[in-house]
Amino acid sequence: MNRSRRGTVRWLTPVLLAAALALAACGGAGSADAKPTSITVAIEQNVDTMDGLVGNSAPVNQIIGAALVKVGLDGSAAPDLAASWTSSADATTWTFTLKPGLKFSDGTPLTADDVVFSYETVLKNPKSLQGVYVSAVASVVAKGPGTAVFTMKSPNATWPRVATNLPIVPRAEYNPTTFATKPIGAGPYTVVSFNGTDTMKVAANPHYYAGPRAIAEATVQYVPDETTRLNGLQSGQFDAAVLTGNNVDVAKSAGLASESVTGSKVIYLGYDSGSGPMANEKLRQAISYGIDRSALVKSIMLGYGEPVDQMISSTTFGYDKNALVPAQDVAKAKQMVAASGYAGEEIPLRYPTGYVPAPSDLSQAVANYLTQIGIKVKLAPQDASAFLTDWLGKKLGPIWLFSAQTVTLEGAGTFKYVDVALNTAKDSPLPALYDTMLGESDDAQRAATMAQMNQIRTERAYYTPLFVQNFVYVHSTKFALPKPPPNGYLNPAYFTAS
Amino acid sequence: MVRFLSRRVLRALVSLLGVLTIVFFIVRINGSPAVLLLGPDASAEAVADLDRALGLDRSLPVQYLSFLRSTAVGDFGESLNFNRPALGLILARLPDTLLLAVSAFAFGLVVAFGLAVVAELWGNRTFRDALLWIGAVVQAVPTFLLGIVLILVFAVTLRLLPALGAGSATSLILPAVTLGCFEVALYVRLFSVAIAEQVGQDYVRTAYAKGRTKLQVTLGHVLPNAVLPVVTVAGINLGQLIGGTVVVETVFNWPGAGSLIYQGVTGRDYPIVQAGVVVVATLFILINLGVDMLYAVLDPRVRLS
Repeated sequence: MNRSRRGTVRWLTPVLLAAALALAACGGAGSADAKPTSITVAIEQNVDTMDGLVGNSAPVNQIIGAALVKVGLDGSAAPDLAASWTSSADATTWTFTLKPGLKFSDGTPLTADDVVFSYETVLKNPKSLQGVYVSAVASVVAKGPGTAVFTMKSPNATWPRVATNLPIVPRAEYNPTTFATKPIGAGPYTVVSFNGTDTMKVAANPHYYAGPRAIAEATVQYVPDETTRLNGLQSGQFDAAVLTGNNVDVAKSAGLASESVTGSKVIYLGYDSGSGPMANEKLRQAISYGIDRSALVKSIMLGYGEPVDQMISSTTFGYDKNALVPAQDVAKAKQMVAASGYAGEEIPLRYPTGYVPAPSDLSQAVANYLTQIGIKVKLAPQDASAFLTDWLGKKLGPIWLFSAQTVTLEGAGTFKYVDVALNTAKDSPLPALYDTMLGESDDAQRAATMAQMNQIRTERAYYTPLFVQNFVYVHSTKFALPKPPPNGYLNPAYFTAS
Repeated sequence: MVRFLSRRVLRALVSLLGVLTIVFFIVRINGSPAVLLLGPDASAEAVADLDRALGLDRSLPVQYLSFLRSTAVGDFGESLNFNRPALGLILARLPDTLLLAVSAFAFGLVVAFGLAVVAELWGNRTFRDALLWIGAVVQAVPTFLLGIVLILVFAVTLRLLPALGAGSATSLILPAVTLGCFEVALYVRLFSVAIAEQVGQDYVRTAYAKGRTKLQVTLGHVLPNAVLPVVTVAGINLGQLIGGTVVVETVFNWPGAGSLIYQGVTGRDYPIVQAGVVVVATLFILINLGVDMLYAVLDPRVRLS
């Protein structure tokens, strides 16, 4: 090294060190001993409008708002604003009794009149995305300040679960313009600020019926990319996020805590059972035997999942614990393919680039199983939103890989669209059974009908459920998550300081 | 000058009309957004009601004319997801995108300029070749990969810089450097070629013959001439940068307009996509116009007529 280079190194070293120290100082460091009162959570569901009567951003509606009923931490339909509810024998009239002394975050009382106003506002607004959930309501009236009575258009035993979607807002204060960014609700937190598109700062609602939450302040940020959420957790910018598979292990190795719970998202193979090669029932049944579901969970989900042979998970109402997952039997599957008369034509396997975990790896693994039993498939990936549109339009072709999820943990939601709305089988008995189930106000009876539907679906192999994707909540060790929610939504209200 | 500007503005308006037409039809290729917005629980009636409420039940030509009429007065409609004016949402996030793009652009240009000048003054061929080789490697590395590596090193391991967001001044460093590295590689190559072309010219030999030093010749004669071809490419490139920050915005969770437009595309939020594309296209056209005018200032042989 010559003299000039040595000189350069001599002055450059302290400059770089000083720069590094300055940057470290800019990064800031909090006291390690103090209990945190503020949390930053990264959520994968978008934060759009804050107005719960217009948008259907469920995490936002549950952080800021409160509905009549909520999904309990054990997956049940639990009281939220309503203390209790009853229905008529035919499930066409539902009466909700509110908890006493309810208040909105601004301190004004919450009454049945506000419930009526919230539902009627949605019913009158054709642009409201909440209309889908409320459309079953024929009318809603207040019977005194503490009771709201719903009359349904037709029998609807699932109504309490569906009512978890709509937050109640104050009639006197509601303004669609201001509520889009600064709503008033009765949920665990109240909005301090919203940047308009993806980040909101909230503070504990002092008037929340269950008392102010343990974490006084929170920042909720929409971060759709999972790698970005992982990077944010590792760098300490986020305190909590939901991750999957390998990312969970990376986060754990970085010293972060995690809780895994059975989720509500079922990954499955769907078929056009009404036309084309998959109208062949034997061929569909062969696939069910040809796939090793446990191996998929182990290799693709790295263990964060559960094999399943029904379209709903064990946390969801309507789950049939007697429906056992068939063991892989390649020889039997091959025999069934041979007996089906399948001519060996190549069948496209469509899959979305989102909505399912590790889409490329998973579809490749499924294709290998199908090839192993003698079915030729050609992988056909598609942009997630275009895929969803084609799925809703029944244009996906013979086989597709997709997910089904009911965030309200009400199996009827899945039954409605996979069995009734989108099943192409022409002779399916399921739509009639679905209508029967909707009229059964007795939960045990309704569960029995749903089990019957599960059984028919399995026998006819309308779908091949593969596994349930677990929700893994990863968070800083500064916080504890005593009871992780089964619906995959991160809510600061669930956290406490460690 | 007035004729030049009039012609350019007219050309810009035709280009904008083309952009508007293409974006209008492209976002509608996959059908109505109502099914996506309402989700699988929606009945056919609910989808039809929402289509009607959004004016999407009308024929495409009628929608197109209505779209052109409202766009002419700056009304891109309300975002389907945010229920607020789409143009306002885009404009609110545009400053962050501009900050990122201009920072990356400036970083690229300044660093490349410095390296090219050092290479010329030093006259070391190995150093110059190494710069071009490293530049080629950097250009071959995908932006998202470079971004993740920088995050892992500087944010996760060393904890020197924030990994995400735009919360502080230091938040800008990693995304700007990620985007700017590609620019450095591009401009080093451009500057090197441009300087190499100039140093063989007669006026350079004349300058040396008059007793000027290498530093004087390089800074006073070679660089002013070498900068001209770079200005043209830089102008176009800045426009592309503004429209091309999406990947970096996603990796760094940077709250810019690019990620909002991407969100609009995946969620089929027509007004957001339309407003975003038109704003970016307008900026691109304005920057090109500015470059043309700057070129005329820098090169006396070019006149604005």
